[in-house]
Amino acid sequence: MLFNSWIFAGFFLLFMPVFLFVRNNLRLRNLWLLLASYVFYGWWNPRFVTLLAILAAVDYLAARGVAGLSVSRRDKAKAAVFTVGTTVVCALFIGADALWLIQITTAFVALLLVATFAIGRASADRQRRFWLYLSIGANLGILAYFKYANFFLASVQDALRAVGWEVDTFTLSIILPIGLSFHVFQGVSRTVDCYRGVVKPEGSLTTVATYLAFFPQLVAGPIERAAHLIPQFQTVRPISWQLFSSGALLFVWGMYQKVVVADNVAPIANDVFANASTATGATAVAGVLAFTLQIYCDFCGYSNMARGLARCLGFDLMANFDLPYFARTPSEFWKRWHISLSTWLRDYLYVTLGGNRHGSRTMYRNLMLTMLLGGLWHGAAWTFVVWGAFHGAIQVVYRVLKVDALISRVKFASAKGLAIHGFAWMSTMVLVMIGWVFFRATSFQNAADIFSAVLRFDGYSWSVFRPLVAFAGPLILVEVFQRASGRAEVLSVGPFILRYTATVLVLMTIALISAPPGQEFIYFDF
Amino acid sequence: MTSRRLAMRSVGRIAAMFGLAIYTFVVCEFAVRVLKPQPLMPRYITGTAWGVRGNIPNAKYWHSTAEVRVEYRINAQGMRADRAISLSKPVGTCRVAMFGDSFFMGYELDLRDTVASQIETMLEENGYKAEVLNFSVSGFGTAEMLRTYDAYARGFSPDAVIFQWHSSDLDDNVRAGLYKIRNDRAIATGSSYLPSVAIQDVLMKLSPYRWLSDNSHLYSWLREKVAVLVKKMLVVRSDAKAVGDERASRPRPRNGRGREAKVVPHSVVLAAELLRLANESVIADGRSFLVVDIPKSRGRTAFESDWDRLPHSSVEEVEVLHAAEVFRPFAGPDTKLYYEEGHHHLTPLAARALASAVATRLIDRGSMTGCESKLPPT
Repeated sequence: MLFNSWIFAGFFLLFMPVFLFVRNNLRLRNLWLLLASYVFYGWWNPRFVTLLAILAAVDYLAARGVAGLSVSRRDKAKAAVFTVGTTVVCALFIGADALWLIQITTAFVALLLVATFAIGRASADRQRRFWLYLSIGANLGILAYFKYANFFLASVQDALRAVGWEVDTFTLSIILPIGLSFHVFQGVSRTVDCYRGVVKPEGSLTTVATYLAFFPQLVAGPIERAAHLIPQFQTVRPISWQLFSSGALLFVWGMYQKVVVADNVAPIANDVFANASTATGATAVAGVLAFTLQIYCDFCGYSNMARGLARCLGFDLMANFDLPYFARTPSEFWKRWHISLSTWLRDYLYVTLGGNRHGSRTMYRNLMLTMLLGGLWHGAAWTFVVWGAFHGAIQVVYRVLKVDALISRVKFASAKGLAIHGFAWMSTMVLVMIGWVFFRATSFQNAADIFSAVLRFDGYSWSVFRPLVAFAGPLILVEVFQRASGRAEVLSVGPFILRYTATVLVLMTIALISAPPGQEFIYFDF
Repeated sequence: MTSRRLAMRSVGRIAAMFGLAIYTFVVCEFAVRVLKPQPLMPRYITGTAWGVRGNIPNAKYWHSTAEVRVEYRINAQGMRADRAISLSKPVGTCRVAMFGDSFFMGYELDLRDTVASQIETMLEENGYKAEVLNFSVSGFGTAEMLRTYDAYARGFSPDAVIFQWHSSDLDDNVRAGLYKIRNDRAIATGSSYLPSVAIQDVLMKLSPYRWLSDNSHLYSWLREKVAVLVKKMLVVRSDAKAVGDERASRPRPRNGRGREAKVVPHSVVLAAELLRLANESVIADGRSFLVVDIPKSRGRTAFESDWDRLPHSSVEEVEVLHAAEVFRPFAGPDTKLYYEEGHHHLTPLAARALASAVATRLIDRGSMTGCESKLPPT
C-alpha cells in the first residue's frame, strides 16, 4: 500500500475514526495499531505478515532473555499463540499455500520453543548471550535468506567459473518482502539495547509487535530505536489540532517531494541508465543529476510522509534527513543522509567493531567494514558493495587529510571562507554523485558506460537540463531557505498568509503535475 | 460582550472567510495558469424537448486553447450555424443532416472550417444546391444522435443522414441508458438522458458562473476532473443496470485462473445495434445513411479506431467511411491533423479532407440527385 495512493487514503479514513475512539485505551489502541499495520503490510502480500509475527515473537522473548529476566512458560505460550494465530488469519487470505504456511510456521514455533528450552538449561550469564544470538540469528538469518541467498549463490557460481569449474546457473525463487531490512534492523537494535542495558525489555507482546510493525514507518523507516518509540506505545499520546495539522503538512511536503520531484525526474534517470552506451555527455550528467534528485526526494519524501502520519496519530518519529546535499564532506553527508541507518551502523556495527578506540588503522578498517556492510544492506549486488566501499574509502581519505577539521576552522562569512566551503561542497557533491552511479547502475559495465559518457563532454544544451531545473528548482529554493533559516518544516514557517499560500501552492502542484501514479518507493526494495 | 459586538465579530469572521476563499481561488488560478494552462472550452448545453442534450439556442461563446481561439454561434434551432433553418426544405435544395459529438460540432474549428460547412461548400462547388444541418452536440453518443433524428431532425426532411462514430460512443451509449439490448436488438427503454443539465441550466443563468466557465483555467481543470470521475461512475451504474439485458446477463466464461475470459462487451453490442437501428430508421424514411468513423489519434501518423470491434452481423448493412483512410495520405511528422494542446479535435486540414471524402461519397451514391444547381460546377 503506497502512501500516495487512493487505497491508502481509504485505509486511513477507515483507520482514523476508530483510532481516535480507542486512543485513550492503551491496550485497545495498540491492538488497533497492530491490526492496521498488519493489514497495511499484508495488502501487498498477506503471507509475509507471518514473518513479522515470527520476528515479533522472537524479539519479544529474546529481549527479556538478554536483559536477564525470566522467560516464563506464559511468555512462550503467548509468543507461540500470537505467531500461529496470526498465520492462521493470514492463511485465510492466501488460498493455495495456506496449509504450507501454517505448517512451516508451526515448525518454526516448535523450533523456537526447543531453542528456548535449551537456552533455559544454560548458566544465567550464558543464557543472555544465547538469547542475543537467537534474536540476531533469527533476524539476520531471515534477512540473509530472503535478500542475499541468490546473491550468494550467484557469487559462488561466478567464483567457481572463474577458477575453471563448469557449473549450471541455479537460483532460488524467492520474493523479497518489502522493507525487510528496516524491520530486521529495528528488531536487532532493541535486543542489543536490552542486552547492553540501554533499555529495559518493557512492554507487552502487542507493544513489541506494534513497535516493530508501526505502519507509518514499517516499510522504509526511519529505523526507530526502542528507547524512543516504545515509551510512546506505553502512554496516551496527546493529539491536538496543531499537532495534527503540522503532521498533515509534513505529509503533504513529503508527497510533493515524492510525486512531483522524484517521480517526474525518474524517467530521465531511467532512460539514461537504460541507454548508457549511447548517452551523450550532457544526457549522462542529466541522468546522474536526475537520479541524485530522485533518490533523495523519493526517500526523504517517504520519511517525511511517515513522520507526518505518525505525528497525526500523536507519535514522534526521528528525522531521517537533514539537508544532506548541503554537506561539505562525506562524513557530514552521512550525518545528514538516512540518519536512522547511519546512526544504527555507528552504534551497532562501528562501535561493536571497536570504533575509534584502538588507533587510526583500526578505525579506518572499522569505517571501511561499516560502509561495506552498509552498502550491502542496500541491496544484494556487487554494485552496492562498491558503493559502500567507495563511501568508506572517501571517508578514510578525508579523515587522513583531516579535511573535516580544516573546514570547521574556516569561517563562512568571508570571501575566502565562501570559496573554501563552496569548493568543499562541490567536491562532496561530485563524490556523492559518483557513488550514486554505482548505486543506480545495473552492472559495472553500465556504470562504466555512464562514466565514459560523462567524460565525453558533448551534447550540452539547455533543453537537456530544463526538465530537471523545472521540477527541482522550487525544491532547491526551499532547501536553501531551510538551510539559511534553520527551519526544517517549511510549510509551518512564517505568518499565516505565507504558510497558507505555500500550502495551497504545494497542494495545487501535487494535483497538477504529479507523475502518473503507481511508482513505488526505491527504498521499499531494501 | 454586547450583542452588537458579537454581531460585528461574526460579520468580521464571515468577511474574513469570504476574503480567504477569494484569495484561495486567486492562488489556485495562478497555479493552474503557470503550471498547467488549461484549454478554456465551456459547454453551452441544455435539455431538449425530446429528452436529450442540445446546444443552447442563440448562444454565443468562445473556446481558447494554446492553438486556437474560436467563436461559436448557435442558431435558434440549436445547430451550430450563423443562420436560422426553416423546417420546410427549400425547393431544389438537398439537405444533409449531420449528427455527432464535438468532432462534428466543430470544436476548435471556426464555423467555416467545420466538416459541416466544408461539405456544404464542396457540394456547392460541385454544382449542388445543398444545406448541411449540423445537429451535433458535444458529448453525444449514437443513442442521443438516434433519438435526436427520430424526434427532431426527421422533421427537417434531410435527403442524407450522416452519423459520426467514435470510440467514445461505446461508453456514451451505455451511460445514456436510452436503449438496451433485448432479443439481440436495440430497443428504446429510457425516456431521457440529461446528465447535470438541470444544474447547468441554473448555473448558466448566473453571470459569475458563466464568467468562470468562459475564463477560469482552474474551473476548466476542475470540470474536466469531475467530468472524468462522473463518467466513470455513470458507466459503472449503467453496466449494473444492464445486467437485466440478455447478452450482458449471460454468465461470463472464466479462464483457468478464475479471471473472466474476453467476451464481447455490452457496450460494443449496443453500439453496433444502435447503428443498425439508425440505418433501418433512416432508410425506412427513404433517405440515405452514412457513418463516418473518426479514429483516435496516436501521434501524428497513427490512427486507431474501434470500428472493427463491432459485430459484423450488426453493421454489415451500414455504409461507413473510415476517416483514418482519408487522413493517411495527409499524415506526416510535420502535419497536424488533430490539435495537440486542447481537446485533440480535428484541424482545418483534417476537416477539409474529411469533408471532401464525404461530399464525394454523397455525390457518387446519388444522395444529391435532384438538387443540381443550374450553375456549372466551379
